[in-house]
Amino acid sequence: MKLKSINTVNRMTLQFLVGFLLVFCSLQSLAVESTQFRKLNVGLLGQIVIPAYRHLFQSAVALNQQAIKSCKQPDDANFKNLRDRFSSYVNNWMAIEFFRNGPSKYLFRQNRIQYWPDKHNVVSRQLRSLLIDQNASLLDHSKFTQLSVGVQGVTALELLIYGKKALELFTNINIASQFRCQFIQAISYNQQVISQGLINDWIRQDNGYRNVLLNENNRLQVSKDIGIDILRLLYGEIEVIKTLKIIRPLDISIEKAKPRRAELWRSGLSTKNIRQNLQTVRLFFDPASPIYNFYNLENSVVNQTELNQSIAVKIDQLIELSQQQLAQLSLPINEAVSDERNRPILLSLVNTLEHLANQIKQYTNDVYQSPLGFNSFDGD
Amino acid sequence: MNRTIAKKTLLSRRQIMGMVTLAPLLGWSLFSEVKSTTGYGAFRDANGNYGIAAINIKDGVPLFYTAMPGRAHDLALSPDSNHLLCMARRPGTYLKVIDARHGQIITQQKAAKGRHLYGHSCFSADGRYLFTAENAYDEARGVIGVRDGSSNYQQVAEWDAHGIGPHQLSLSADGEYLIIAIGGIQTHPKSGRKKLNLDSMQSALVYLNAKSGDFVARYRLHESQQSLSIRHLAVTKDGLVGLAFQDQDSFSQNKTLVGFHQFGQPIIQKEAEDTIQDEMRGYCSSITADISGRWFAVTSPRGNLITLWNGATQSYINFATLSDCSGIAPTDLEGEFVVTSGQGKIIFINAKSGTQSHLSLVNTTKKIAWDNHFISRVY
Repeated sequence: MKLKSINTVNRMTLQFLVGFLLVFCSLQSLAVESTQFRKLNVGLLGQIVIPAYRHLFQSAVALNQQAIKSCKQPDDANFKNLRDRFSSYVNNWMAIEFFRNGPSKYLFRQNRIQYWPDKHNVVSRQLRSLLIDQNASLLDHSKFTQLSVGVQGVTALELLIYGKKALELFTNINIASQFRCQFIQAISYNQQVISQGLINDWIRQDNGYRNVLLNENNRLQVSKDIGIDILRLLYGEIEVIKTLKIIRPLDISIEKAKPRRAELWRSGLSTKNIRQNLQTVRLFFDPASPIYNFYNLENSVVNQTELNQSIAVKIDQLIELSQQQLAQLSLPINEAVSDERNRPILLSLVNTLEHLANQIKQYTNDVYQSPLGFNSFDGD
Repeated sequence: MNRTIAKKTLLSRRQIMGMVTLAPLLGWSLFSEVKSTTGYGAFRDANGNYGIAAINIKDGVPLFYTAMPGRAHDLALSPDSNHLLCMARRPGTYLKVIDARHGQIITQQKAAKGRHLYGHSCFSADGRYLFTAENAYDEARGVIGVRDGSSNYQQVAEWDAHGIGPHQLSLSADGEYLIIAIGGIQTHPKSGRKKLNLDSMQSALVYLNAKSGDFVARYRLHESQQSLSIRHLAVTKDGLVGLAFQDQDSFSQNKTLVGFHQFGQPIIQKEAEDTIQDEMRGYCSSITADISGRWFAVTSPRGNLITLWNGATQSYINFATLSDCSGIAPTDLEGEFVVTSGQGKIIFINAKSGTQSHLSLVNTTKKIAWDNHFISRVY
């Protein structure tokens, strides 16, 4: 009886110890996992997102300086330099366009940098009207920011420097051309202020967006939420590329193609923009990247024996394929949509992007055990 | 108390919109008095299981979790607050009757043969009958199932919904009419959730006699707005109907996605400003009115956006943001709404005071994604 009782006690002790160890190991595993998610957030925000906003600001400063210089001496060379700075600024914007949360939403900055697509031709109509009125007082920055968001950003600037007779209108010596150049300067300065606001809101010590997101006492978001949000933004960017930047100008047939629906078609940047968008998305999954990214996270938190192939690697390969398909285009998108040789390439690209978006969904499901956009993408 | 509030003073419309967006970042903190209120919503958990949950939205304490056999959609509370009706999401067929206080399943029903549910239901004024939006899919016809609560919610009648794809439905303020958002989209279970008639879809708002099912009136949007599907509605005690639309044309931009309706008058579509319209991304997932009926709130999860509307002026006033937001319900405070998200978050926003706060669930490790709709019981 006594022996049995001791055995019972031992068994209970053993059960308790096994239970304790299981709970302890599981808590340890959770802690390790949490560390990985945090490491990911620190890496992605610090080494991809924030540097991209810095580059955007730097290129905005360069654009603004060039606008001032070009308007002082409106000749062919300065016109070309202005176009180069514009192209560089747009490229930097495309590198961070996908981040449609936080400071870019504040004060409608996203739309004030680029109002697109512009289905009702708002930018062209409003810009024309403002150029006819020539009300110089509206170009003062404080008043300029109160104008329609459509005329404050790159869509309007593209019209001014790539529209019909843009060079002639730029180099003419008359009041209308001077006002036009002042408008160019007003947009450029506005972009500098907006992009400065963006980077400041991200990095400032006191309640900067980076610190808020990474604050361990943040009750609104835990580490995992930030990664899911970033994945949603990346998925959203693929959808924007596919739907708005490609399918919309493609339309349903070659006869019905809509070249002018291509993004920034006047400057011929539509293909380059997509290249840059995809290059940014790739940074988040690239297995060869020195940045701790979604590839590394997947390796850390998912049992590799459960995976036939890393989803991050599949995503990386699909981005590579998309880039190759873009490289096969011999025409910019606005021309490619109506061209018999190029149009099939765009249709293949749409297919690749569809797979890519699905893989991002799969990644979120498998690595974060969370549906991506439970309501956004699968609502009723 | 697990609730913190971010509060700002109203300045210009544009300033306050920016501030509300940033409110969670700035860490304002004060407290607000909330009476005991229960919120109910469908969810998916981390293991992919579906269910419904009840929480006390005063203190964040979960009251119960009840498993469901598949993804649920909306819930309806009987007027005596005893029964919680859980409807399967399209094209599901189950209907569960749940004890609203303790979470046990009391009884269950299925859609009749050749029918599936659309996920929404509402009670008759006396609480006896439940009206369910259903698809008679082989006939490509929307119908309203009438179920008797006094006999285990067995179906006792079926009314024609007078349109394809009836979705959310509600009683009119006086209880005389059944108001039905006719989405206009034909689907068939054999094709899953595929939309079969986007080229010819005809959305509408239909009024039926709530006692007889007789057709009373149908209101449509202008033909230029044909791609809009009227999916969700909210009725105030003054008889104003708020409407939330979903645009089926993925290329269209800036279509107005919110409308208002008074019986006998045309549907009035109301715009937010262009940038907000853009951010709604052609998709509204829920609409509700606050407890006073003066304010409406609409969720647009694709843009992580909640827009606030003044019912009296039928105009857009403000917005707030929450990732993958969707479920929305009134609390006991004028102007205040509770909002849930697919990332398991719960926040409060107040259209009247411009405040925003966050609720943490307590005493639970369960990680859930809140589904499209959320309802509340205030007592």
